[in-house]
Amino acid sequence: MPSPNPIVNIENLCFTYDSREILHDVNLKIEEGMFAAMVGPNGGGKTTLLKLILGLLEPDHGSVKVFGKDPKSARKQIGYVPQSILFDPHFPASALDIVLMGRIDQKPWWRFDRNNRDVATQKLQQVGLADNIDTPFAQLSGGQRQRVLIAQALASEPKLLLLDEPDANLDQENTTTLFNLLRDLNKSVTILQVSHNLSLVSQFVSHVICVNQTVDMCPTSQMQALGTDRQGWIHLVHNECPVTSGKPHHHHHHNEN
Amino acid sequence: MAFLYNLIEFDYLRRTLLAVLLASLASGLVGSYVVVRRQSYMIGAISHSLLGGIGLARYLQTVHGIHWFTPLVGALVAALLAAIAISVLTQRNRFRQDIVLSAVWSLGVAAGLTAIAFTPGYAEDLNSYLFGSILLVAKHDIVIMTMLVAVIVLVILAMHNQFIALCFNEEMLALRGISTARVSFILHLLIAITVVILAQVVGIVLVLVLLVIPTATVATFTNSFLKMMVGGTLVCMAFCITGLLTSYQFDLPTGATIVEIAVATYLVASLAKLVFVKPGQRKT
Repeated sequence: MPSPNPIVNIENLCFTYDSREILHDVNLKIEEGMFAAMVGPNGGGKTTLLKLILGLLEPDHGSVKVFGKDPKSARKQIGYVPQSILFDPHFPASALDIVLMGRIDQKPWWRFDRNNRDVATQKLQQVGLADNIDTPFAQLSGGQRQRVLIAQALASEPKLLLLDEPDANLDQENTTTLFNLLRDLNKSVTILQVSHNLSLVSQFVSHVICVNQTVDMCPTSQMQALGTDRQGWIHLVHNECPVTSGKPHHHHHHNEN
Repeated sequence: MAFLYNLIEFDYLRRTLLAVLLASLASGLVGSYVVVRRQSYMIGAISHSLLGGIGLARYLQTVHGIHWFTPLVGALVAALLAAIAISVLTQRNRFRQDIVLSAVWSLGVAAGLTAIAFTPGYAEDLNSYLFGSILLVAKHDIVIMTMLVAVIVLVILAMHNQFIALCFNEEMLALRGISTARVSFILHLLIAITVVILAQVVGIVLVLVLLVIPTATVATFTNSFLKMMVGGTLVCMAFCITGLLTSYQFDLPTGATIVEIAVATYLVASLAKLVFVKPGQRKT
């Protein structure tokens, strides 16, 4: 049953960049407790949609409401994990230091106080890095670094967690660990992530959202209802919202600087 | 030994060492952010803009008799103006950063040359501003440098966490409700102040090396930001004092000697890491 107050409510949204329409007439409701994955081709508008929800971009038409508010005023309740490629893997800081950055709005004086350090430590334990609290960021594996970034997003105690391709550059084993972790976190936080790996992600999430200029959401449970195997369902998704059909788009990056 | 004897004997040498200590502190503290944020090009732009302020100061002193407007004050004014211009113009990608930096860089030098044209007898001490004159640092310059370093330390104590988050990921800082424009503006002001302090030691043209190389040398061996700051300060002091002694002994230009020692050490450190640190443990 859709609730009257969805966590994210997007209505009739259009977004144009460099005179190219990236998103057209998007309607999307993310309900509390959902674990949703956005899939679609590069340049289809997945990252753009995340940035609209974060209020980093403004729609040309339509509206975005997060927790019933303007995205900018809802930001404090959102945890965001950008694409890991945007981070310097050699950044001179420990795992704990990175997580503490998620509590920067606590206005610390040189060092964070005990309370903030305790929260950050607890978030590292939650993502399974209890043994790596003081490990330098540079000495962690790619999968561990990704989990540190998730702990950083969790450090602000968000009610909504947004992740941009957390599975990029991870092998199958690390990706499975990551999705298991996210499914675990989903017990207390609503999750919306961008993913490339539809066949794997569909085993974990509650909803798949196809983003390719237009947006369609399909509950993963309908897969069983339709009596098709996973591959068949994927084809169904592909046909309903043209994930693979249509011309290839150039990948666009917005607002990265 | 002659240097040690002279150090006890002469006031100016003690002042020189104090200037080196202050400059090294500024370099180690602020240089760490510059290295992590990869903003060395900005230092080149700010340092060359100093020439405009120094030229103006010499013009006002010589032609209009405004003696309190010393070259150090002029340099400080020019550096802060350059930092403000860079911050405002590059905010939200209004203008491309490399173009703004190039413009500030050349405009500073041009303003300096114009001021020189209007100032009688100025050209002869141009050399010491361009390439440093650590042995000529005056008592009132030391007072100003001390105040500037105190400002740097206080601002870093208050804002280190915001600076480091800015260096790591600007977007995340903005999403936590903190103005990235404000934080990067304050960091740019600190960089400007540091450039002014270091220019007293090695001169405008050679500042870039002394602000970046000490912390970069330490960064090849550590993953800790605090170690970069402390180590950068110590290494910068070592560069300056070795450079001073060597230049004193062999009658070489001091600024140039310091820079040569710094770059040589950085190269040796990087090579040593390639040779001695196993690929698995390698940081870069």
